[in-house]
Amino acid sequence: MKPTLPPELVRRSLDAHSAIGLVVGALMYLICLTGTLAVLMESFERWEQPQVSEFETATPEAVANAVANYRAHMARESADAPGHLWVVMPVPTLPRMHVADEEQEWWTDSAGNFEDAPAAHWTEMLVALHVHLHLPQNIGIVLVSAAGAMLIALIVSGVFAHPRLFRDAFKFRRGGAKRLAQADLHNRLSVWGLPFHLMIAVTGAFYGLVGILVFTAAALFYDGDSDALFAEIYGGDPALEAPVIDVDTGAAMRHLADHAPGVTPLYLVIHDLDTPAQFMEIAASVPGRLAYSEIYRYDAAGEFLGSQELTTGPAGRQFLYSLYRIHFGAFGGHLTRITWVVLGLALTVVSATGVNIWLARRGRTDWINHAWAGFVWGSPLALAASAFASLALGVSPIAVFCAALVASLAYSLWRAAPLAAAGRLQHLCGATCIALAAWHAATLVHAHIDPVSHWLNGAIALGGLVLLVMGRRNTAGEPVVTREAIAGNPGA
Amino acid sequence: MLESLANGPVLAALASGGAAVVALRLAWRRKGAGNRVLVAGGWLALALSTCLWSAAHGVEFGVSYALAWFALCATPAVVLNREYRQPQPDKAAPLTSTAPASTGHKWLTFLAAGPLALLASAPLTLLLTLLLPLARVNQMALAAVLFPTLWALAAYWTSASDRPLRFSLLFVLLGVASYTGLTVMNPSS
Repeated sequence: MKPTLPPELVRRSLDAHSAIGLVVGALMYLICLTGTLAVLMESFERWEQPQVSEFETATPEAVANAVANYRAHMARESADAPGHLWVVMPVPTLPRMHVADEEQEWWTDSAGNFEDAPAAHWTEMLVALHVHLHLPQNIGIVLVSAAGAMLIALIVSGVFAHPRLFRDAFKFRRGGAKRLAQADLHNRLSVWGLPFHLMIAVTGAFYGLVGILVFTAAALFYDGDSDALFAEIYGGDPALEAPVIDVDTGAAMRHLADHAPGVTPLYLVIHDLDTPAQFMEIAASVPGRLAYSEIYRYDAAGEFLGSQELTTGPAGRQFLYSLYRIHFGAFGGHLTRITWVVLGLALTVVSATGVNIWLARRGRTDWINHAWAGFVWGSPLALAASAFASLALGVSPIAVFCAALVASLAYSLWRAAPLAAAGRLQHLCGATCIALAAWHAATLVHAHIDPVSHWLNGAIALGGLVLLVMGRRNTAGEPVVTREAIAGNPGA
Repeated sequence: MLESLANGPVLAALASGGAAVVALRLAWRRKGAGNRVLVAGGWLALALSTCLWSAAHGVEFGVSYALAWFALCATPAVVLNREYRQPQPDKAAPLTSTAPASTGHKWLTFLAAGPLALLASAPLTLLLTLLLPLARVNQMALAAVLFPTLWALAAYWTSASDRPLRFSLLFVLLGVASYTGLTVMNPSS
């Protein structure tokens, strides 16, 4: 006899699953949608600014030249030395180099000469929307991470609430009653994506909630000094006191190439520039390791001080330094990112269909149905419209996003027919996507457009076409089905 | 990137991941010894796929690739199994298994499952992890995962219950006891 879950547990779990899902449903949908797109953030950066020079590697001379150019800029501006100066090097997913201090940033060419300032306004808006919902950062990041924790709760309650979840693993009914069709879509995507969803939930919950843990632990054990706790976890910074000399970035990079020939440098940062405490760090990804990077430290003369042991130190340190790459699929190149987009899209659909099931169970249609349709299909429309407005017109993307989302909600509430409103919004979103891809391809055709931008334009146009087809189907109206008609047609 | 797929272990990993889904699909909802063998073979093929991915890319990446590939392979298997039905209207169904709760009850459930469970989980997580004989960095790494998980379980259990007041009190007590425990044991002293 097969073990079965107690009916009371199943019943209670379903109640909990519904309650938690309803509380976080809209937030979860927006976070999943923006997170799915944010997986491609480097590609969107390239797409937004296709004229920037691209190259595969940065030579030590180019890095030194970039730092020299920064110093020249500082001298012209009579600016104080920054606390930190980064030279971010090209990697396969973003084959560009840029120099940044705490306030300013420039792309450079392959020789380290300054080009334009980064201007990926829409990508920045998208990432900020995913990470902290454009709320004050401390509040927003905790809210987003709380949604991650609630996703864990939804996964656990979902497994206990659906005793047939695995038995029905291949069951997929379309048509019929809307609730069953939505439930099948929700359950199939949930069960097959379960490991991925759990991984996204745990890593997503980490970023904001760890702040609460750190705050608590620092207050209890480190007199409120969270830096002391971080130093114990990640390793402390070297404390140097040396004569001030010009930093020799070339010596550091040449040493790294000899010391760790297999690693790929990601960035070089100079801390406390032009002070006796100045030192350099080179972060580099290590082949076969999931940890974001190892950090190699050098003094101003380029003498090796040691590594931070992020890939060789305690397991906990390596684990914590791996979470970013797991969450965003930032490993294995474009194929991994595409996979993360597909699985992220599945989680987005799970979020939307979860609420759809609850709406169908109510057996009535009111303003909640209308608002939900406006929100679900208004969000991608708002993202597409904000991208178009930002690229083509230079308008603030977050302003356009908010305006388009509010307009979509208002339209859907006014239309008072969820399926028809969804259809119109899908039409509009599809048309905007196609217009965006066409505008990008036509306007920026003379710029150096990398293959990724072509692929992205193709994907955006294809997504637009799919939305147009969906919109056409939905604007045709809900199928007119009455109980009387079914009663008269037993085969139905 | 595509070149990285064209090596022996990766091709074998792709094939065994696909074979795992095919075996599970063939055995789905069928009984008999043959199908039990197919199910076992399916899970073994998934394990083999994970090992092969790990051999090709290291265990840290291998597990991620294997699970992602398994999920991707399942998609066509599910889509091919779709069945169309005549459209039917939705019948209203009860939204909860119990009688509809009052607004106050709902707010109390939210308070218990949300802020109170959160505030109790943080010190409880620290207390539990600091009791383990691990280096501080490993304790904190474990806490980083345990904290949202504990909160999630507390939220689930509270939402599944119709006694939010009891859980509210429990979380307040747990939080206070954990803070007290942490203060008493103060591992930095």
